[in-house]
This record gives sequence, C-alpha cells and structure tokens, in this order.
Amino acid sequence: MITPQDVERLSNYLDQQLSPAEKIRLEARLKQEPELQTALADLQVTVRLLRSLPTLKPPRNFTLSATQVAKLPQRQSIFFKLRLATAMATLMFATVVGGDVLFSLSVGLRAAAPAPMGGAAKMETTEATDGLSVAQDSYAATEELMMADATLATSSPEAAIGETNLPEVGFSPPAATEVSTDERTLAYTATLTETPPAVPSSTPVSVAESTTLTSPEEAENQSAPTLPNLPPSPVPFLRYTEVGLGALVVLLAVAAWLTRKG
Amino acid sequence: MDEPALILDAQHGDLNAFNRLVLEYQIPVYNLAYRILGETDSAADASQETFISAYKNIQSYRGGSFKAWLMRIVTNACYDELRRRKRRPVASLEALNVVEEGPDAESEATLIAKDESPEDHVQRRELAREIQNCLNHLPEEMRVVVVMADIMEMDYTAIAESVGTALGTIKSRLSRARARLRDCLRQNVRELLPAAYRLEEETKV
Repeated sequence: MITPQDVERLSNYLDQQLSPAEKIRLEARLKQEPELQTALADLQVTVRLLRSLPTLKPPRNFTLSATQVAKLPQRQSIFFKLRLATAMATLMFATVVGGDVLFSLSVGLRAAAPAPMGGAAKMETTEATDGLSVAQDSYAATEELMMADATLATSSPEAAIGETNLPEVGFSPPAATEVSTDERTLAYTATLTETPPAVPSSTPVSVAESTTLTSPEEAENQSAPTLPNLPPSPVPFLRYTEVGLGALVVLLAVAAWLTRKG
Repeated sequence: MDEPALILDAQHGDLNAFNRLVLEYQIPVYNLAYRILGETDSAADASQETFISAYKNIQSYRGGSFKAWLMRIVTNACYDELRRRKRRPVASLEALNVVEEGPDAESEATLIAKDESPEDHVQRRELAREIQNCLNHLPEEMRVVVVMADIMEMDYTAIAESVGTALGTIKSRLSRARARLRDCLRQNVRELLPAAYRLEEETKV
C-alpha cells in the first residue's frame, strides 16, 4: 500500500531532496517492494511528460514603448495625490475625534467639580428662598382667609401657587377667582397679583413655586439638586463632522487602492 | 549580454536597456504565465503587466537573480488574475475542454522537428494539450509549484522564494501535484503516450 508520505518521499527522491539516511532507507524498500517501484516509475513518467512540453513563443513582444512609460508616472502621481489626501483626511478625522473626546471630558469634569456645583446650588437656594417667601405669604394668606370665613370661596391662580399641593389644606382651587368685599380678600388678591407670572417648570423659580404649600425645609431640599441649564451642546455638529470625515477617509483610501490596482 | 550593466542603466531610466532585458526574459515569463493560467490572452496580459511592474519597481531590485525576481513578479500577476477569475468567473473554451478550431498556442509553438513525421507531430501536439488540461484542473497552489519545478525547472529554493512559502510546503505541494497529474494523465492520455513513456504503464498493467 502506497501512502501519501511514500509519494512525497518518492517525489523528493526524484529531485535529490532526501537526506542520505532517508535515501538509503528508501532504496532498500524499493528493492523489496515492487509496488513502490511502480509508483516511482509512474512519477518519473509524469515528470518526463511535463518536461517534454514545448517552450511556447510569445504572441508578441512585451517591450515597453516611450508612450507606455510616459503614462506610468501620471498614474503614479494620481495615486500619490490620493494617498496624500487620504493621509490628510485621516489626520483631520483624528483631530476632530480627539477634540470631541477632550471636550466631552472637560464638560464631564466641570459637571462633577464640587466648587461650581456648590455655587450653583447656593444660587439655586437663594432663588428658591425668594420663591419660598412668596409661597409662604400665599400660604399664610390662604390660612387666614379660611379661618376668617369658612364659607368664603377662595381661589388662587393656578399658575402662581400650583395645583398639586393644595389638597394638603383641604380644598381644591376653583377655576376662577371670586371677587369678595372682605378687606382680607382684597389684600390676598393684591398679594397674588404681585406674584410673578408662571414660568416653565424647568426653571429653579418654578420649582420653588410648585412647592408653595410645602415646608421651607422641603422646598430647600427639592431645589438644591437642580443643575443650572447648560448652553446648547455642539456635540451633534461634531458627530456629523466625524461621520463625514470618516466617510471621506474610506472613500479616498478605496480610490487610492483602485488607482494602484489599475 | 552584460546583464548587470543593463540593469544599472535601466535603473537610471534607460528604456532601451530595460527593453533588452525584456527581450531576454519574455519567453520564460510568458511560458510560466501560460502554464499557470492556461490561456494565451491572459498569459500575454500577465506578461505585459509583469514587465510594466518590473520597470516601475526596478529601483527596488537589490541584486541576486534577475530571472528569479521577474518570476516572482509574474507569479504574483498570475495570482492576481486567478483571484479576478474567482470574483468574476467566466467559462473559457479551454476550461470547458472544448478543442479550439484553428491554430492555438501549442500548435503554433511546436514546429515540426526535422526527424518527426506529421503523425508524430499531431500526436505530440495533442499530448501537450492534454497535459495542459490536466494542469488546468489542479488547484492553483499546486499548479504554480509543479509548473515552476517540472516545466520551468526552477530549484526548490527559488520556488519557495517566488511563492513566499516554506520549503517543506513546496515539497508537499509538488508531490501531491505530481500524484494528481499522474492519475489525470493515466486516465486521459494513455493512447497518446509515445512508446518510451508507455513502457512503465504497460508493465504495470
């Protein structure tokens, strides 16, 4: 039985690629194994047939003309220009990505830094306290009104004192303010008229106002964690730039590769 | 031909010197390309590409065998062409084993020898065509090695350098290629074999 290893040994034997020891071993086997002899003869015939193949004459000369040579540097120069453009685009891409990362880090650090945070919270607390005093005035006025005339229908503008905390004092605000002849009611109305108009709930002032009927401690606790509004972030612009530059790098690299291939 | 002087001149941009090198080596370059690719047009294109590439990169030639350097370039050109064919397969006449009408590469090249009868000439031409068919059916990595070793008669080290593979791999590929070719030739060309080649076959049968 001739194994693939035997064929490889025979092939190497034909080309004098066996070591002296391997050669002696194979020749000893060849004397004893007719099957191995036949395999060797077959390989010899195959190699002789291949070597008998005629040398072919090329269909034309492959000498280069001056015109052909003149075209070569031009293609090379396009390739080099594309390669340079790819390198520059890659550099710009890296710069923008690096800038983006640095910007993100700096914003993160600013948000996490204790000093500015404390300042913001202090400012917030001051504003909240101002709002709170207004709220306390309203709260006191409402209580006085309730005590003075239980049947008096009291109302307060929704925008000024909020809707959520009124149930704590046991009544719901009516839809419209009723005009009363009572002096206290007039005073209350005047107080409410001085209350600043409603502002969007995201502002610190509105947070304070929405806690009109809560205790001062609670109002402080609620207003403290609120962060100041940051200016609009340039991140989307950076993202678009990064994507655009990345696409440009890929396109230029492909164009350079295609130019080089031919 | 003073090859080193021609190479030096070519490196300095002398196109005539380079073209003298082309004329010297275009036959082995074309033959290697034809035996690997199995088609005259593809082989001619690969040969032309080889010399263009050689001219462009002649500055990178750092001594040693200029022929081996060219063989490496043409081998790469053939690999490129084979890869192109894999991406965009087209059924060529040769691949379909259809015998072309009229003159082909083998018949044009094999002129009748003085001591050869017309019948022998036809038989030799047919044999060459069948061998090429068997070569075309080998896996490309085996084909390249067997063409270099047994047709171009390059030594193992030069083959390993041209193909960029270890010597052991070259030996292994060559033995497998020879075994496959033996089987293919046994099936297809037994009746075409001249008496000298048939002797071993007959004793075995």
